[in-house]
Amino acid sequence: MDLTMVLTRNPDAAYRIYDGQATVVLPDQAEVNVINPIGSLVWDRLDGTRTLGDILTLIVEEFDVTPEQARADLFAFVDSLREHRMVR
Amino acid sequence: MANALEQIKVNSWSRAVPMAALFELTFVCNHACTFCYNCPTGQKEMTTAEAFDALRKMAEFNILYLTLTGGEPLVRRDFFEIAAEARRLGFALRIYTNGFLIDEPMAAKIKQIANPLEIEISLHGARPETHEKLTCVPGSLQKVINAVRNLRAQGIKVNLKVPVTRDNQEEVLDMHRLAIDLGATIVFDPVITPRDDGDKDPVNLMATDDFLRRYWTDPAYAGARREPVPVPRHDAPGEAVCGTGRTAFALDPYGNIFPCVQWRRSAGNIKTVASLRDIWHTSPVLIEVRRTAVEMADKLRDTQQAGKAGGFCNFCLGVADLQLGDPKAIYPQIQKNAEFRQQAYEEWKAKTGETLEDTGGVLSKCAM
Ligand code: SF4
Ligand code: SF4
Repeated sequence: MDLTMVLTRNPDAAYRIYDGQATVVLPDQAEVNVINPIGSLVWDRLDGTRTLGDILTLIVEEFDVTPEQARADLFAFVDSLREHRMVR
Repeated sequence: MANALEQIKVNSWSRAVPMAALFELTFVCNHACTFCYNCPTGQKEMTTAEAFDALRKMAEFNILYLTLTGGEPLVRRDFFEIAAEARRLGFALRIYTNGFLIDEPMAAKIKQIANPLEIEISLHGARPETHEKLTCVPGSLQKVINAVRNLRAQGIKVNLKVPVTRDNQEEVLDMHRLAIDLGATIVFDPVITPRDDGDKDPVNLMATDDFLRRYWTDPAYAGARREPVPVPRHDAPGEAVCGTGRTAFALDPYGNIFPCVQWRRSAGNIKTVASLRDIWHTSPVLIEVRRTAVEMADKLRDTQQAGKAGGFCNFCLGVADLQLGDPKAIYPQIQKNAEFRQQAYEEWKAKTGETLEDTGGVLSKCAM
């Protein structure tokens, strides 16, 4: 994984943001995923146009977190989204 | 993760921020059920463009769960256009249908275009003559069975919904087995409701007292009941009896916005409001139904104290208003069910020495 990657949310995923948290429903998964506010910012922007680098910049601007920490968290989060087939 | 979701739902309830809506796309139907609740008024139903506009307004209002229903939604020629638009707008879809039109190609198209979380199909009996006595359409039971098989083959979840009447009450266990065999879930509703225009004829079809007693107290029915042992209700002070006008709303084919599917008091028309936000917190109808829902919880507590089984009442304000003209009047079907539910609970308590408490809070209440 690197910062030039452009990912897209699984088009089957339905979601809305409630209380800053993305609530994501996939028809073939019983569980509804609720994503924390930083993760929700990432999720909302995985729209097939932005690179992970663009998203990292946004995180560092909006949240009180170092670029190194934000990058590690972003990669871990995107990994778990891929594992759950929530992004492609 | 489940806790975060529960917290979101509790917030939705306490702040009256709806997450779900039910969209009746048409009152047209290819069945002629004797107890059909729909009441077309002859007004013009929404065009495709108007339905798209309604979807856009609901998406802007942050609705996540959307049920497409009717009448029979699949008879609308533009059903798949509407379903595709709903998906594009990010709704999680459910479809409520009589299943008649769902052959193999239709099931594949539903999967491909609508990709719903679940399809709900009405079932009225385990034998053709019973099901078809109610639908008035020959061959309709076999069509339901085929529809479930076709949908399951596409990996789509199916839930069968059964209004229990005196005509099908002796087939409840067979219907339960049929659902298991088909890989579907099934929900029985032993409380028959009047038509949306207040016509009480369907209520005469209510299951017999003898059956209701067996349904709630006989262990043979435990698997078929939503709750194996009926749980006494627990409404915290100031908490509404249900989510009417609070967590969800219903939309009819003419654009009328109702506080829920059963309570048909129009709060406005989606075609004429610029945004649902404009009416949601200011509509006198919605303010009143929310208040009435809180008052009713107090009343049920009082009737329980008076030994009248209110604590076992899955009360519906909409049915009470339709049937008796008073949303807080206890209607006979619910009273009967509540008495047998209480009897079942007392028998279970005496046998096991245990007690049950509703710990689900607002999450266990009717929200549509
Ligand atoms: S299938 Fe539903 S909408 Fe159609 S006639 Fe029967 S009850 Fe009415
Ligand atoms: S109980 Fe009746 S009035 Fe309350 S939300 Fe459910 S359908 Fe509506």
